[in-house]
Amino acid sequence: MNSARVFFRGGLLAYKALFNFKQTAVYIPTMLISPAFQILFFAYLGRYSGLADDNFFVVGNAIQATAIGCIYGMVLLLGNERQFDTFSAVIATSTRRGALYFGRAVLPIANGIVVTTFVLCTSVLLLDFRMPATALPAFGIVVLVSAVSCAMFGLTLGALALRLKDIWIISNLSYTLMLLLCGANVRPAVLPGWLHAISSCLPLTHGIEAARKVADGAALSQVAGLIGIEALIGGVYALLGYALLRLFEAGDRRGATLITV
Amino acid sequence: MSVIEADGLRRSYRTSTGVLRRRTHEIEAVRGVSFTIDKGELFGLLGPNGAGKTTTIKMLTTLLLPTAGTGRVLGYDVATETARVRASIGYVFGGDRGLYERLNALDNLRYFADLYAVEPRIQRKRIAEVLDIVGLSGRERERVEGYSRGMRQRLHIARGLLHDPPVIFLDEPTIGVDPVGSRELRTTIAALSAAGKTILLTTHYMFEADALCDRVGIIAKGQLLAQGSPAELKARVADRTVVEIEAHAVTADAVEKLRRIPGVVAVTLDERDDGQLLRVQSASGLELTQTILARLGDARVGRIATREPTLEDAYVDVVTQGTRS
Ligand SMILES: Nc1ncnc2c1ncn2[C@@H]1O[C@H](COP(=O)(O)OP(=O)(O)OP(=O)(O)O)[C@@H](O)[C@H]1O
Ligand SMILES: [Mg+2]
Repeated sequence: MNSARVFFRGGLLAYKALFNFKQTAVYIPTMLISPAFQILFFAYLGRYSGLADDNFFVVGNAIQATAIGCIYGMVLLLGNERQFDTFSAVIATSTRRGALYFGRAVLPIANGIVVTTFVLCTSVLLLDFRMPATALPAFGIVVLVSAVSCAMFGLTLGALALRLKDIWIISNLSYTLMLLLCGANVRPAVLPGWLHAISSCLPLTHGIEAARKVADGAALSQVAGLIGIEALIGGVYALLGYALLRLFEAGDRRGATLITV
Repeated sequence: MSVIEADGLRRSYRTSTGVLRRRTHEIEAVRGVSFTIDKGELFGLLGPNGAGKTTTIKMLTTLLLPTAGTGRVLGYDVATETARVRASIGYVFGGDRGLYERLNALDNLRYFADLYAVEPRIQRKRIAEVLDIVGLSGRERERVEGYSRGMRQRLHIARGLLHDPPVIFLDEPTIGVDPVGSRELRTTIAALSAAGKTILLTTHYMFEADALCDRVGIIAKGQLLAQGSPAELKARVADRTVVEIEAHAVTADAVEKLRRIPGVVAVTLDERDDGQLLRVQSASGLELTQTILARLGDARVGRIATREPTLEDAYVDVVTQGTRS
C-alpha cells in the first residue's frame, strides 16, 4: 500500500523535483520540436539520397524518440539527487527500494510515449507517413514495451550518473549512440560486426524492427518474438540498474563517496 | 535501557591525492567513541571542527558503516538492522542543502512522508503539525529555492519529525539561523525533549548546549574526552577565574607568553569583526590582570572583565588538555 504511493506519487514528485525540462518553455523545444525536426531531417536526407522511404525514417525515429523522455528522464531523476545533496536524506529512510527506484520510471515512460505520439502526428501532417488504422493497437504495444525497456536502460545509466557525478555526458552520449546503433536510420546489419553486437544488446533496436513490420501491416503475432526480446532486454537492464543502485548504496556506507552532506 | 548506545565506535576515511602518483592515506575520523543515552535524555556532542561529530552521527543513523565497534539504537544494530533503525529515527543535518529546491515545502514534506510510510489518512494533519512546530505555517506553498537559510534549516527539522520518531539526531540545528529564530528552535527542541524524545544534538554554541542538554560529551580528534551534565563539567573549572580582554593586534607570540604565566591553564584568542577577544583561564585567587597586560606587548586593550567560568570555559579546558597530550 505504502509502496504503491512511493511508486506513483513519489515518482510524480521526484519528476517535479528533479526533471530539468518540465517548464513549458523548455519542454516544447527540447521534448517536442527537436525530435520532430530530427524526423524531418532524416526523412529529407532519405528522400535526397533515395535510400529509403519516409515510413522507414518516421517509424525508426519515432520509436527512438522515446529515448528522449526515458534516457534523459531517468538520468536526471537519479543523477540530480547528487546536485541537491538529497540522496542521503532519501536513503536514510526505510522505504522499499524497489518502489523508490522503479517509481522514478513512471513519468519518463509516459513522457517518452507523449513524445513518440507527437512526432508521429507531425509526420502525418508534414510527410508521406501513412499507417493503416488497424495497425494502431499493435503499434501502441510496441511503443509501450520499447519505452519501458528504454527506461530500464535509463535506470542503469541513472545509477552510473549518481556514481560518476555526471548527468550530461552520460545522457548525451547514450542518446547519440542509440541514434546510430538502434536502427532508427541505419539498418544494424550494415554496421561493422562489433557495433552490430552492441546494437543487439541495446533497448529499442528490436522495438524499431517490430514497429516497422507492424506499420507495414504485420500482425502482432508475427512480431511477438521481437517484442519478447525487447522486453527481455528491458528486464535485464532493470535488474542491472537496480543491482547497481543497491551496490552503490552499500558502497556508500563503506566508503562515503555519494554522501556529501 | 539506553536508547542510543555507542560502543567503541571507530571510523576511518581513505582519501587519495595526486593524479600520476596516487597516494592514499587514511584519516581516523572517530577513534573509539563510547557513550549511552537514556530514554528521554537530550545529549549534546560538542567539539571543534573536524572532531568527528558528524561522522559519529552518520554511523548511528546507518549512513556510514563503523570500521570497528558497534552502535545500537533502541537495541537495533546500526550496521545490520538498518531498516529497523531507519524507521525509528529522525535525522536532521545542518546547512542549507539537501532539499528539493524546485518543490515547495509542502511537496518536500509529502514526498518524505511517503518515504517514511506516514499513513495517508494522517499525512495532511501531520504535515500541518510539523510545519507549525518549526514555524513555517503559511510559507509552505513557496518553493524552497526562495527560502532563506534559516527557513531551510526549519524545513530540515520538519522533515526529520514527520514520522514522529522516538529518537532524533540533530546535527547543528541552529547553524545559520538568526538569534530570534535560534531561540525559537531551542524552545522547539526543548519541547520535543519534554515530550519524551531521545535526542542527540551537536552544536558549536556552548550556551545552547548549557541551556538544552541533560548531558554533554566533548569530543576532539575523534576521541571522547569528557562527558557529564553541564553542571558536572562546569565543576571541573569551578576553582578557576576567567579574565576576558577585548583587544586589537594581539599576536600569537603574546598568546604563547601568556600560556607560560604560572597558574594560567588555558588561553584562547577569538577573532571578531570588531577586534579580538582574549580569554585567560587561571586558578582563582591569583590577581593576574596586571601580569597579563604586561605581556601583551604592543596590543591595544579595551574592556577588561573578570568572571566565573561557564560551560564554554570547561569545554576549552577539556579540549586544550585533551589535544595537548
Ligand atoms: N567523506 C569524507 N572523506 C574523507 N574525510 C572525511 C570525510 N568526511 C569527514 N572526513 C574527515 O573526518 C574528520 C571528522 O569530520 P566530521 O565531519 O565528522 O567532523 P565534525 O566534528 O562534524 O566537524 P564540524 O564541526 O566542522 O562539522 C575530519 O578530519 C574530516 O576531514
Ligand atoms: Mg559536522
